[in-house]
Amino acid sequence: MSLLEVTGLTAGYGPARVLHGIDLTVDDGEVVVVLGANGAGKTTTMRALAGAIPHQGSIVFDGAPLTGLRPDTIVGRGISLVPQGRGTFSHLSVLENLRVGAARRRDKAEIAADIDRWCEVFPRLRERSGQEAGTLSGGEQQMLAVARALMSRPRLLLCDEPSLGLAPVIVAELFRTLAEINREQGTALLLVEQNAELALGIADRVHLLEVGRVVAAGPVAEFRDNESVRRAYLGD
Amino acid sequence: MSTKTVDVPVEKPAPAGRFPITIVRGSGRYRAGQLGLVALVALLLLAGASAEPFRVGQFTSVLIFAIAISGLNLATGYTGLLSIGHSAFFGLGAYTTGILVVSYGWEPLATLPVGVVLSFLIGVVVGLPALRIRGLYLALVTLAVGVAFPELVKRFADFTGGAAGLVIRARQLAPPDWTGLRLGQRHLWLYWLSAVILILVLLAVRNLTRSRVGIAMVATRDNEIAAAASGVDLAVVKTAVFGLSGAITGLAGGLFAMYIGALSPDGSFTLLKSIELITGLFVGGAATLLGPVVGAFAVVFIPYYSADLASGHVSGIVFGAVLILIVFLMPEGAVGLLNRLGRRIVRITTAAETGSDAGRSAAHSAEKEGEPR
Repeated sequence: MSLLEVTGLTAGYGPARVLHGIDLTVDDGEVVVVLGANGAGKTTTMRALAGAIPHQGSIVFDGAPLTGLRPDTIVGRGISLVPQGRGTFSHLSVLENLRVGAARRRDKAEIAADIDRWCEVFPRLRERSGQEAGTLSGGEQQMLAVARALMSRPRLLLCDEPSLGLAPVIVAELFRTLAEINREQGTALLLVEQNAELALGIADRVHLLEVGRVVAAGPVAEFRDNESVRRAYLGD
Repeated sequence: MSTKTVDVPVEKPAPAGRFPITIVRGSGRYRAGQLGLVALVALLLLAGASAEPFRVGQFTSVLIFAIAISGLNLATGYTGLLSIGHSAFFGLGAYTTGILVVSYGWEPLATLPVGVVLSFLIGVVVGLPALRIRGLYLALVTLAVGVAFPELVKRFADFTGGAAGLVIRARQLAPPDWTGLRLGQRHLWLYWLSAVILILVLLAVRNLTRSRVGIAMVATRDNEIAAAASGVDLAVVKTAVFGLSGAITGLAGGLFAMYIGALSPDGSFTLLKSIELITGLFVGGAATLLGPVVGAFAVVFIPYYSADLASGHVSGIVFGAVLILIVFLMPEGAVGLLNRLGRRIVRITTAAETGSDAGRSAAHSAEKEGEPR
């Protein structure tokens, strides 16, 4: 049984339905990439999984249904979201941002140790620990958003277009770090991306999303060889 | 307002070492600074108390407004929940004190906790809609509460005195014996009582905003979805904040009843009072600890002196013009501006932050003093 099993997920905003029945799975410790163009429903999928918008269908995580739970409860179950556009708390310092990420935890010493660990992984965060997040560069904010999401010790990390608006060299570094975290912590990753090159580099499996439906799913190798995928997502 | 005239420089704080003055938390200099601050506050309060009784009364209303605005600051400043209904909490506290003293012969001081608890409960109830709606829609709900309060007072006239008002006899407001103050020194009693309560409220707000609840409040304001997705329980944060916010403003209302002695629904508990509190908050500096104190001075003294400059409606226009000027020159409020300037000169840091192991030790404590968020 997979860590995350999504079947027939539908969601939207008011009368506008965006997702028309998504099926997708993520295994324990796996890296799964969801590729899709603008408007395919990538962000909506992530928001529904995080409990941030109303949705129907079945989401089962670690054997327990998640549908209808509040976002903070879902964090408690072991799913953490790195929102699109980073969503750091601009008037809180870097350290305070990390502490918010541990909002549901009460183990003070362990929280401090985790802050230390992620400052090790992202040295820029330590340099800027007392600074307000709003004064950080885009790349630093994305690192902060990832570190903050990891502060809840998730088993599954959802990343919503982490590459958006970042310089290629920063994106490469970020994906290296994400792969490292997956390897060392065993944290499963579900990434949605528009820009596929680097994402495919760290992924085990791929789902293709088109206008609110998953049109294809399978191991990365299959997709690299697929002619239409190459043309649409890899710019060949 | 054109964008080019409002010039708020986005500062990039320099790394440690480039500050002219660095003070380490807990060091001798830090302690000396704290002592100096306490001495300064004591001196200012003593100076205020030695003024003529009319002035002492004005200062007392500043202290009371500072408490009321501090309450509003929790909801509107730190958590970003705009409330136009805080006049209702101010009135609820005032009428709780008034009714208990007049109809039930309570000791005025003993009524304050009752007003606080009632205001807290009503605050939680008013905060409930905040779970579903945000921004201006929430403001509309609070507006309705603010509009309803004076009408409710009139409706339950048997209880509240209605439109005719409720008068607390001066003898009932006499300073308690243990103060050693005479009946004629009531103004001093209320001045010192308000000062002590304001200090306690400010200490509580300071501790709260630095706690995990406090950072959850600012996180909720900065980015609600990300806060929830980080595990912040928005329902608890919002209702608790509205409750606490209402409780503190209600406490100010109770003091106000003791200060003013006569309550009427159309006097100090209409929407106008809400607007005054909001004005004070933004002039002084929202989400700053001392902004409410500066703002309270502004809302008490600017109208007073603008009435000197001109008469009648014109004085209102002068008041408005001064407010526009202040907001134009200091969009982050007086204390917000001072904090920003101050941080260029003085840096207060923990011992660990100056060393290499910033993350671990500093994780336990908040960073800078009284900083705007």
